[in-house]
Amino acid sequence: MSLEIDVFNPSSYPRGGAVAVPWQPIEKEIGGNAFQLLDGNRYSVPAQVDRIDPADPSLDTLAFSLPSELAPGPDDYSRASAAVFLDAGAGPRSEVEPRAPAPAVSPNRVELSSGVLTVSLSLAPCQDGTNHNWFAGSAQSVRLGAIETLDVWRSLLPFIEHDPEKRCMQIDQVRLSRPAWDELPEQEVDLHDQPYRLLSFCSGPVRESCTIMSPPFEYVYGDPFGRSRETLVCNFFRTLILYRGADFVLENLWMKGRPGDGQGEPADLTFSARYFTNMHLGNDPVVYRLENVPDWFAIGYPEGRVHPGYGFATDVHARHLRHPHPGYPDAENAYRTFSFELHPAKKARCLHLFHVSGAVPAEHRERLGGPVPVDPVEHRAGHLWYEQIYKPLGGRAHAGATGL
Amino acid sequence: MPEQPVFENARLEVEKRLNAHDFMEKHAPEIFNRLKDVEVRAESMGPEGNLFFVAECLPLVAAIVHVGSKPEDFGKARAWAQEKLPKADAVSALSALTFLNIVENGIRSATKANSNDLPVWQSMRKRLDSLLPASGSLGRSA
Repeated sequence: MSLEIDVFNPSSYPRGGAVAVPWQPIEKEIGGNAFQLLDGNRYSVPAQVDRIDPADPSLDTLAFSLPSELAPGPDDYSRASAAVFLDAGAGPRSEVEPRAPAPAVSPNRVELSSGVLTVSLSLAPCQDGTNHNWFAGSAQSVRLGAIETLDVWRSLLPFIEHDPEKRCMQIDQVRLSRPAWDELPEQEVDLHDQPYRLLSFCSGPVRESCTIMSPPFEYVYGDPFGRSRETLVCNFFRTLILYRGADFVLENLWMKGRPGDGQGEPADLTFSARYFTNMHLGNDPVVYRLENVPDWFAIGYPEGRVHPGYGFATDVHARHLRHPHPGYPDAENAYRTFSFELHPAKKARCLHLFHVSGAVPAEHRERLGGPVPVDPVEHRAGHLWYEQIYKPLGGRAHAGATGL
Repeated sequence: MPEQPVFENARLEVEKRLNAHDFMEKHAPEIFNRLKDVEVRAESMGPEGNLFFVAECLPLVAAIVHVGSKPEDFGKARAWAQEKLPKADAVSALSALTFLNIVENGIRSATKANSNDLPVWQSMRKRLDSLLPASGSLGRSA
């Protein structure tokens, strides 16, 4: 059996890249995992199925790389630009088999690579026996080729030791709103010192991804009718995705809570996540953020000859950037710290861009993993927000599976 | 021939304001080796080697400036450079003047120690001289 998947380009210019669609409806339609994905000329299309959370098959995702650019289309996804064809039973091919190692013992660290960008994510609060238990859920190394983007200057001077405090993409705290009748308006949960558990790691021809889950924590609120205190047991989930060749990380966030008595289905909860970063972006980095466009911002260093930068984009709004992070205990190095909070949401999709441009020395250019970007970081962050967050390429299976 | 006063004054001002001398002294051998690597590659390039040498070394020196100075000192030095060179990129100017310092100090140290490194330092200085404005010698005291 063959299933047609329409693909959509919501932009007014040709675009290529990758498309992700929910897998479960397709799997039900074709009745298995064995398939090949083909373009209109019957050439094979690189594809993979990611099992995001082994406990929740509704999150399984089919991702594929388009073999060529799509023609422009309407921005409401009302007209497909092309289609790919899924031939069921024509495999199985190893690269489309779901991969979810689900290790019995979660590792302390997981590494994702796009071939250009490599992210080393700490699941444990501490990696080195120093009892510095504040690194959980942070990327302690983000390398473009061999250049450490978290500390570009030291990376150019290999005789200097790296800064052990450097990290980024760390959600160090989440907040849950309490009902209006509660004494306190919200509950804060620190995550920087709590070990995450690896739920899945997926690697294929299109992308690498992993899903991590926080340890359970209690959310206690007052029941306005029974006057009792109710408890939900919650977990916070993060899926990090690196597409092949990309110098950015996509991230999905969500939180689930279930009644403390173990009865009842888990529910998605509204949360606010706070990101913390300790990254050397020059002694006086410039923040590019438009007050009326809270969907993305960038931090760059436009002076001098080497320009490190970081960009962030999200489909929920981000509050203003705090620099330095208030209360950072090491005052001398506080200038390297940044933090910002997302607006409350039940799900959030975020993007982290890692950027080095300018006159990177030749030997480092060769180790960069890709060409040196021409556009400044703020242009790239805004553009990526549009293409990856606001108007991503879309896919829709004819049998009824939809996803953008 | 004496060093052109404007450069000498400027580089000494930058050295004082950046306050990165201890860092550079501590890592002097490694810094020299990095610069020497580039110098060796520049040797095979003929006249274009001068530009290559400076273009490749300036980002390394910028990294030394960023890592070796404290933000407060860096800020003061940057403000000074902005005031003195309002049309220039202040950070690039700090890097360039620090580069002059490194080479000048290298020549002085190598001369004092009668080191085999002296010809390498002198070659670096020639390359820098060739790219400075007319009469921009970097000092002939060594």
